[in-house]
Amino acid sequence: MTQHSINLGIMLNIAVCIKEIPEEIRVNKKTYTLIREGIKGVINPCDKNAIELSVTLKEKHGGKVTLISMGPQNVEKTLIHGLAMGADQAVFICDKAFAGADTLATAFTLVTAIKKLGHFQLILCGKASADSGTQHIGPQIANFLGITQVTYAVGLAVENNKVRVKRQLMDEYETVEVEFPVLISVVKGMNEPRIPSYVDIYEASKKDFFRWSINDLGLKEDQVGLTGSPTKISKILPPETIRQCKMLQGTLEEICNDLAQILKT
Amino acid sequence: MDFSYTNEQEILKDILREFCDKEITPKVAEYDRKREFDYSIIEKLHKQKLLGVVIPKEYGGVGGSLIDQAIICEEIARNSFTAMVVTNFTWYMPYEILRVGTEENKKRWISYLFDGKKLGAHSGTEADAGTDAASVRTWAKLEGDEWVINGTKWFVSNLGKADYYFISLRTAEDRYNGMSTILVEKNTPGMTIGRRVEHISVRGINNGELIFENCRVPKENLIGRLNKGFYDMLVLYDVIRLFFAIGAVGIARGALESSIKFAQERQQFGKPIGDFQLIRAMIADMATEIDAARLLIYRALDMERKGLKHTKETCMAKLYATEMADRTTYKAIQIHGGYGVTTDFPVERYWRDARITTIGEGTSEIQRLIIASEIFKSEKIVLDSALD
Repeated sequence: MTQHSINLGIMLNIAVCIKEIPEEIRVNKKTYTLIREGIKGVINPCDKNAIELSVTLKEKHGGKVTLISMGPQNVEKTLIHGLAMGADQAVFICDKAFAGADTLATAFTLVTAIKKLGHFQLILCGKASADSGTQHIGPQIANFLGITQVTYAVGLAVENNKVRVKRQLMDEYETVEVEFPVLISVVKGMNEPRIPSYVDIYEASKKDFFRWSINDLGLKEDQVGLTGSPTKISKILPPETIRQCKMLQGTLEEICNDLAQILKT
Repeated sequence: MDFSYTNEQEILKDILREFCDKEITPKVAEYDRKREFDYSIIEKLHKQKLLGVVIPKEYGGVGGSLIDQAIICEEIARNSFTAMVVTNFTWYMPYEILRVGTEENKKRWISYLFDGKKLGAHSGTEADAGTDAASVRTWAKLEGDEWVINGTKWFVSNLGKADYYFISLRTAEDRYNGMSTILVEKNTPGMTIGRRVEHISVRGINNGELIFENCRVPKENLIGRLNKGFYDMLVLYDVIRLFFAIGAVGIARGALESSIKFAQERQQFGKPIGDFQLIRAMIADMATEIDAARLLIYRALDMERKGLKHTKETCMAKLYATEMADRTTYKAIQIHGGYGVTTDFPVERYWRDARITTIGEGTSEIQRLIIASEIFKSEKIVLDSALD
């Protein structure tokens, strides 16, 4: 506990929900599904910002950071990366029964793990995953837990047992003040995630790492995975890109104006 | 036999990619054009504990594995071979002392030299001594408690930038039993920086002539055994060559990745050129050869870890990896077509950098001679059989 945290009387117990995504989004044009095989997994970019935020808060106020992730076997590496960034422990939710989960079944499973872990003042997650981008998980977790949620966070300060959050809206910023417990989803680029050192990587492997199956969470198969998911994905299609060359004519000013107009639209 | 990376090694690769994308890649083309290097990278790598991870904890290192060191070298070289070569000189010489130094050398020098700031250089080559390393004519003679050095070294990397130089020189007339290595710190009177040479490879590195005129250094600056420097060098090459070879793999990977991206984007005849079989064949060959080279290097490193003799395996790895880099970067330019020879794309730099790899740390020709010598189990010293 730092001197600062003693003064404030805060010891933040923080959970960070993270997701591993494929480094490159490729779609199988025959089966209309995402290709994951042979593509390297990385931490979802804004989840990395959430980890950075959690570790910064812990360093300032004291406390403990727990990473939680659900996914296939190879996600272990992503969690260890997060531990190397400074988190204290990791929970890896892995079971064949969880495969094919939609956002609701995923949030439900994550919330079951969060409840099993105990009480958190702060739950952080990224705004959205770069592969599916639904932005559902954060709000769904908050809803299941019945706690306040603040989305699109670009800045955050903890003062007098309250959290002041700067939100990024379409055309403006909004600052809100909320009480614990709260779920906050963060925007990519809100901070600069640290790069762990060589020593941090190997120290991370010594930290507490829990693997939880469907039985460990006390769940039934019809509550999770594909069978527990009301959403059925019929097709995934990549956005169509068309290459088109257009030569702009006129004076320099006219060309610049035309170009600006094209970029705007 | 396990061919997979550990989770830690996968993360190591990821963080190196992040580090290089941020600190090295944006500046690479500029280093090359201006023939400069951003030496602040050394401090940044040191902060991440990524310099010389093979140096043991007792000497200020982290005691990492040889494979981890190879991963670091490959990832840095993938972005900039110049950056790999320069930054390796922060730990090559401390590692040399670890391998061939006396106990006094280790206590006196390793921690002092390996401080995350000091940059070293190693000089063997002279006007008439290259592959024939034993023909050096720079002399050091002991006068009281000091070595007095006279002669001129050539192709000295980090010229004028290094904090210290390891000089291979003559301490007795005997061809093989008269060579030693002596450490000279920068600004030592009698050592002057000569002409800087222009070259097509690793253009960011200062390289050229180092002149000694009655340069005096303390007796304790002798590294390794007196008059046994030639044999120490052979032992050292068994490992150091592998880190040069993995740099060639890094260059080739950079060329391959650039080629894949280009082949997916460049459209001809109404489709990406990556859809054409002849391009696909080149990509397949490049990827296969890169993996083969890396596996040869890892095999030799594994033998080193187990304490086995691996001269032949090291030379095979160095020979194959560096010639592979030459072939791969040639194909990369071919895939890029006209763009490949422009400085708008990195592949011409990969090709130029690959060229030195078949020469530096022992030419391909000498690697072949050593491999053959090991195969025929010649009892004669390797270089003698090479020169017979």
